[in-house]
Amino acid sequence: MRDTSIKKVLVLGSGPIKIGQAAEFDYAGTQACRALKEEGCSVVLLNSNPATIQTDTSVADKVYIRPLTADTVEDILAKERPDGVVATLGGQTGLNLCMQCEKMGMWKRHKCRVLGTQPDAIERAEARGPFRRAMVEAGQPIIASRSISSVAGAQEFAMTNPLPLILRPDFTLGGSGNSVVREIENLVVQTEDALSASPVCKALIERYLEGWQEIEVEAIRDSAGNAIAVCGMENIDPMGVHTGDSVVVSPTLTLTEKEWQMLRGAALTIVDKLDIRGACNVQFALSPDGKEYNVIEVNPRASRSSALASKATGYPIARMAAKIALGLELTEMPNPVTGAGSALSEPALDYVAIKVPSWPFDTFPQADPTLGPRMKATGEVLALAENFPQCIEKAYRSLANGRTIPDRNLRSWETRTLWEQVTKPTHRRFEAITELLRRNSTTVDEIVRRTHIRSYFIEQLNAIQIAEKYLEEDGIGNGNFENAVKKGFSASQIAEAAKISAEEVRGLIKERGLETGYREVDGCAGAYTSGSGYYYGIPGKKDDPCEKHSDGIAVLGSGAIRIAQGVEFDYCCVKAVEALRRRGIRAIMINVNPETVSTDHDISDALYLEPLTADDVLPVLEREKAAGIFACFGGQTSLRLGLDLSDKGIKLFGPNADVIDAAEDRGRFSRLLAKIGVPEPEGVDVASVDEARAVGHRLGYPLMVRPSFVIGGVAMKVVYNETALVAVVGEAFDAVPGQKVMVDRFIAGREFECDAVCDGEDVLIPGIFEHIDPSGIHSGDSIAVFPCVSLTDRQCEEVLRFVTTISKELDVHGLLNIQFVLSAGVFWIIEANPRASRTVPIASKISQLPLVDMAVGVALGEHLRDMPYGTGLYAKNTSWGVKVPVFSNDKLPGLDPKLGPRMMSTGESLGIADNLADAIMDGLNGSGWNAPQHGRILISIADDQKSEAMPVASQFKMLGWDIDATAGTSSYLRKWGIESEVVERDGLVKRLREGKWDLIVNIPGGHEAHFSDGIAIRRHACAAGIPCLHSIAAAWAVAAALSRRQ
Amino acid sequence: MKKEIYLTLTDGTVYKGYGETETPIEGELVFTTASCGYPQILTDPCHNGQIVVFAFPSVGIYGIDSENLEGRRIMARAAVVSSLDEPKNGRFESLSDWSKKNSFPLISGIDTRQLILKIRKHDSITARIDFEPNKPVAADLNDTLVSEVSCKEVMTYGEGSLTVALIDYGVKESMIRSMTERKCRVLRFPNTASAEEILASGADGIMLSSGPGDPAVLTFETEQISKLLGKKTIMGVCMGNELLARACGASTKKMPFSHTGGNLPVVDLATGSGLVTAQNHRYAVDESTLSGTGLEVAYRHLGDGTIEGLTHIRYDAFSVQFHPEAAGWREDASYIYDNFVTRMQAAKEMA
Repeated sequence: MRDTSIKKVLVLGSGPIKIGQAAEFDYAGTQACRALKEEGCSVVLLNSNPATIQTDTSVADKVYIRPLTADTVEDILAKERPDGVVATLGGQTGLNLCMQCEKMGMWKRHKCRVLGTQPDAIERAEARGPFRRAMVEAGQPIIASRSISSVAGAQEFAMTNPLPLILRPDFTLGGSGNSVVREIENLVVQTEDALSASPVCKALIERYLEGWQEIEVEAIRDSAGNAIAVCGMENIDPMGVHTGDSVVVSPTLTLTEKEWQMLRGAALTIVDKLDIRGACNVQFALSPDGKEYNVIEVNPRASRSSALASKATGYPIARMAAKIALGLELTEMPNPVTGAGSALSEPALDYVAIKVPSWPFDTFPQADPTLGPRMKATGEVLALAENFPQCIEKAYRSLANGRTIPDRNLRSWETRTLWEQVTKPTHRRFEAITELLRRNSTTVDEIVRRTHIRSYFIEQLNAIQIAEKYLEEDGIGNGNFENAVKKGFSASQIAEAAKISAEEVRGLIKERGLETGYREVDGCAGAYTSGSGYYYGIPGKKDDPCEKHSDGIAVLGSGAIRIAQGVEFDYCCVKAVEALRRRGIRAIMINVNPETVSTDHDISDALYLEPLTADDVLPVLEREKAAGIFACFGGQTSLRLGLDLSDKGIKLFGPNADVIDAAEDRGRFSRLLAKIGVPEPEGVDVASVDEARAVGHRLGYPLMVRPSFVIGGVAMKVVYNETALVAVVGEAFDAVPGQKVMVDRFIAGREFECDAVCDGEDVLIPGIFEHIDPSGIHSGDSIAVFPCVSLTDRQCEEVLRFVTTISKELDVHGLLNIQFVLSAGVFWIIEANPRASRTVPIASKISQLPLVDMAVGVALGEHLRDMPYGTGLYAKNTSWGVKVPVFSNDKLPGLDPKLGPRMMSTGESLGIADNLADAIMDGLNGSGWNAPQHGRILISIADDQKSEAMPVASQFKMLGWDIDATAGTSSYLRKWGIESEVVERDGLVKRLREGKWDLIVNIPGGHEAHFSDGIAIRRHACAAGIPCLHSIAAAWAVAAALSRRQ
Repeated sequence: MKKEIYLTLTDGTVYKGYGETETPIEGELVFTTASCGYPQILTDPCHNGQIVVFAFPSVGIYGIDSENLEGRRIMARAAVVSSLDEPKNGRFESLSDWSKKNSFPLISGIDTRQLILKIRKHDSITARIDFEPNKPVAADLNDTLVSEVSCKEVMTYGEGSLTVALIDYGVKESMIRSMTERKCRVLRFPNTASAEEILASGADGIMLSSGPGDPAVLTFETEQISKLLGKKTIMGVCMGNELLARACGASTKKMPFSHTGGNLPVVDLATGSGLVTAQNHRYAVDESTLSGTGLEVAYRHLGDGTIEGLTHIRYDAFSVQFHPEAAGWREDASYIYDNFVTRMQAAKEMA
C-alpha cells in the first residue's frame, strides 16, 4: 500500500560520471523522480553532475546541484524537511552516502525515513562478513573467501586455497582494484595494490573460478515480499572479465531450464533473505557442467545491469523500485510495459538482446586494452534482434566507431597477434576469433578450449564469417545474399564483401522483399498488446501491425558514452524530444545506449533501438515517413550520421550539411573569418606528412595540430618539435584517411567558449564560459567559470559582435558553440561548431534558459524576438557556476594522465554559489575532494613557469598549509624565503598512496621529455582522489576558495 | 535440402515453413512465451493433441537435456519455431536429431511473432501441417486426449511414511518428483482407476494431476473424485483444479486464450502475497457456478482475475490451476506441496 505519510522525498544522485558509474544512474534517478511525482510526491534531488537530465527542474521539483556529501545532505534536510530519502538509485555513491548519513544518525535526527531497501539490509548485502553469514543461512553457496586488511591475511588464505586467486578491494566502483593472482610470488605486491585501492584498506581474497560462466539475475522485490526475476543475463565472456567489460546476452541462451530455474530461484531466495525492497542484481558463477553455482556478488540497488535489463525487456526497474520505496506492492500495480495485467509478471522475450561495451582504447591507444576484473569501458550499446548473429552484428555496428564483425582491418594482422587478443582477452577478442576462424587457422573446438566461451557463441561467429566468405567468393547468388541479410549484415557490409555498391544492395533488399520489419517491445513475447512505442528492426520480417504515422521528426542520439561524448548530449537529445512533443510534433528517438534517459520508451512518441548508421536509420525514416531529422544534439556521432543521411536526401533540421561543412572545413571557415575580419591562429591545411613538415619550418613551434573530423580532440595535440608533429599528423591520417589536417600556430592565452542560440538574424548568448586552465588544455578538461569573470563590458560586446557575425555568415538556425582565446588583448577564434556542445546543459541550468527548446524552435522557423528571453548577451545570471572535470585515468593503466588538447575527463561536477570562491569549493567537493582546513600541498612546476610558483606558494603558506615541493621548485621557493619540504623521487608514489597530500599542483613544461615524474604523480593523485591542478591560475582559484572558508 | 511444408489455420491463413511429417498432422494451435525449457514443454502430457508455437525465435540452442524430461515421450503433436538452432559441439543431442529420431514434426521458418499476434485473439484455433496448404478437417479430439497419455497400470515411486495416490490424467514427471522429494511414496493410478481401487490402496492423500484437453469430457474421472471427497486429503493441480471443481458441482469453461508460460502473476488470497507461476491451461473454473459447491477461491490471476486455486470449506481438499513445481526446480510456490504433505500428515495422525 502506498504510504501516504510520505509527501516529500529526497533522491540521491550518483555524481560525476566515471568509469564504472556512468549514465545509467541518470536514467535510474530520472525514472525514480518521475515515478515519485506520479505518486504525488514532491521531489528534492541532490546531484553534483550538471550534465544529467535529472538535474533539470522539469524532472524534480527542487534540484540541488551540490556535492554529494553528508554536510550537504544535512543542509538540505534542515531546509526541505523531506519525509523520506531514496538512496538505492544513485549508484554506489548514493548508497555509500546514505550509509554514511545513517551512521551519523542524520536520518533519525531529521525524521527522514530511508525508503526502499533499509540500511541494515544494505549493510548485509555490502559488508563482506554479514553478507557471508546471510548467504550461509539462506543455504546459498559462496566461494571460499576471506576479508583481509593485511598481506599476512592473504598469505594465510593462499596456504589453504588453490591458485588462481582473485583480490577484490572493498567499497570500490566498477570492481576497480580487482586483480587475479596467478603466481604465488606476486601475491604480496598484488595484495598491497588491492589494499591501497580500497578506501577502507580492506579487500576480499577468494578462489578464482576460471572457465565458469558468469550469469546475472536482475530481481525486484517489494516490502510485502513479492518478487520477480526481471531477466537473466548471460555474460559471453566467462568469469574473469568484469561484467561491465563483458559482452552480455539476454535472455540466457545456453542455459537449460533446470540451470536457469536454479539460478532464478537462488536469486529470489537471496533477495528475500536480504529483505530487499526495490531493485537488486545478483551475480552467479555457474560451473561448466551446469551442476554447481556460487554467488559472486549482490548489489542491493539499481545498477548498470538494471538499466540494461530495463531496456532489454522494456520493464522499467528504477521506476518500479521508486514506487516500491513508497510502499506500493507489485501485486497492486499494473504491468508497466503493457499497461494492463499485473506488475508481478516476469517479462518474456521473443528476441535476443546483446550489450557490447564501448572502450576508450581508440581515443587512448597507449592505455592497456586487456580486459580483466577491473572495468575499463566508459559506456555500452544495446541491440535487439531475432537471433544471436543478427544481434551481435547490430550491436557492433551500434558502437559507431567503424567496428564490425568480421573486421576486415584484422586481415593484415599476424595470426600470433590475433591469438593474443583472444587468450589474454582484449576489446578486439570477438573480431580476432572471427578472423582466426576465417583463416582456417583454428577450429571452433580449439577456441572453446582456450577461451572457455560456450561453443554456441563461437559457432555463431563462425557462421557469420562463412556468410561473408560466400559473398566474397560466390557473390550474391545461391541464397548468399539472403543469408547475409538475415545474419544481420548491413547494406554497406554486404556491398564491401560482394564488391557491389551499397545502393545496389539497398535495391536488392527491396527487390527480394528483405526490408527490415519493426517489432514492438512488449515484455510478453506477443501474448498481449502493448503500445510501448519501443521498436527494433528485423531484416526480412514483417512489421507488427501498427498505426501509420507521418511527418514526425527524428532526433539522432549520441550512442555509447565515450570520453568527450558523455551524458550531456543525451540531455540535449531528451530536451529536443520534449521540445518537439511540446509543439505537437511526433518525436522519434533513435539511439542505442541502454544507460540513458533517451532510450526510456515513454520519453518519446516512438523509440527505435537501431544502430546509428545510414543503413539502419534510413528504413526507420522511411517507415515513419519522417519529415526529417535533428542531428545537432547528439554530438559528433549524430552529426556524422546526419551528414550521411543528408547526402541521401534526408532533411536536416537546424544547421544543414552546408552550414556544418562551412564550419568544419577549416579552409572554408578561415576564408569566412578573413572576410569578417576576425583573427584566427595562422594555419594551413595539410594533406600529407611532408606538407606538415614544410608548415612547421615556416611557422615555427609550438604548433597545434587538428584534424578536420574529430571526436573530443582525438589526434589533436600541441607539438613542440618536428618529430612530434610528424607522429601526430601520421596518426590523424591513419584514423581518417584522406582528411585534411589543420596545423596552426599555437596561441597561448586565456580560453573562453560560449553557446549561442541563433535564428539567422538575432542571437542569444546565455553567458560566456571562462576557462581557468590556459589554452592548450582541452576545454572539456579545464576548470571553467560561468559566466565569465574577467572580460570587460567592451570585450563582451566584441564577443557578441563576432558571434552574431559568424552565425549570420554561417546562417545558423540553432545552437552555435564558439571557442576563442584572448591573447594580448586580441580574440582569436579557435573553433565554431553549429551543434549542441558539452556546455549546453550547464549554461542552460545556470541561466535557466531552455536553450535546447529554443534551438528546436528556431530550427522550425520560430524567432528569438518572439520568445520571452531577449537577445544579445543574457544579463540576468544571478549566480556563479564552476565546472570541475572528473577523471577516470586510474581505471586505465598505461595512460599518461597529462592534460592537453585531447580530452580525458569522463565527467564533471558543478558548483553554484553567489560568489566564485564558494562555487569553486562546491565544484571541487562535488568532484570528490574533501578539502581540509589546513592541508599539505605538493608543488612541482616546470622551469619556465617557476617564477609564478612564488605567489601561489605564499598564499597557501598564509592559509596555514604545509608545502612540499620537488627539488627544483623547492630551491626556487627558498630564494623567496618560502620554506618547503623537498620531496625525493623515491617514495613519492608511496607517499601519494598513503594520502600524504591534500592537493597537488603539477605544471609540466613545454617539452615532453620532462614528464616522466609527472606521469606517476598524476596517475596516483587521480587514483587517490587528490585533485591535481595543472595551471597556476587553477591553483590561485583553489587558494581563493580555501581562504573564503577561514 | 529442406522440405517445404504448410501450416494452414481453420480460417484459411497459410504459413510456409520447412520440416518433415510422415502424415498430415492436425491439432489445436497453442503458443508458449518461454525462452528455454523446450524439451520439457514438448514432453509435457498437457500438450497432447496440440501444436506448440514458440515465441522465442531461436529454439534448440542447447539441445535436449534428456535426463530432465516431463514425460516418457514427446507429447505435443508438432512444434512450430521461427528458426532452429542446431548445436554442433553442444553438451546434448540436438533438437532436430531428437525430433527426427522420434518422427516428431518440427516446423521451422515461420514468423512465429506474426502467428502469435494472430492466434492470441482467437479462443481456439486448429491448424493442419501438410505438404499442401489444406485446411484442417478434424473434429474435436478431446475425448481421448487423457487416456492417450495416462499410464496403463499402477506404478510406484519413492519411499516414505506417507503414500500419495496420484491419478494420472497426463502427469508431469516433475510433479511426481515434487512428492518423492518430500519423502512420499507415490502410487500412480491410470485415469480409469475407480474410487474404490484408489481407497483400497491405503493412500494418505490423493493428488489429481494435470492433463490435456477439456475436463468436461472426463465424466467417469469426475465421478470418482466425488466419491473420494471427504475420505482423504485431496490436492488438484492444473486440470486437477478443474476436475475438483466439477466434482463439487461447478462448471468449467474455455478461456478467451490460454495461460501459457512461466511468468504469470497470481495472488494467494489467504496471505495477499503474489506469486510468479508457471501455467499451462486452456480451461478454467467458471466462478458463477461456485456457489453452493463448498468451494472458495484461494488463488486468482492478477491480470484477468481467472480462478487459479480453490479450497473446500468442509472437505480436506484444495487445488491450484498453476504448476507449483513449474519445471521442477522452482521454489516460489513449492510451499503448496508442503501444505499438502502437512495436511496428509495431520489427517493421518487424527485417524
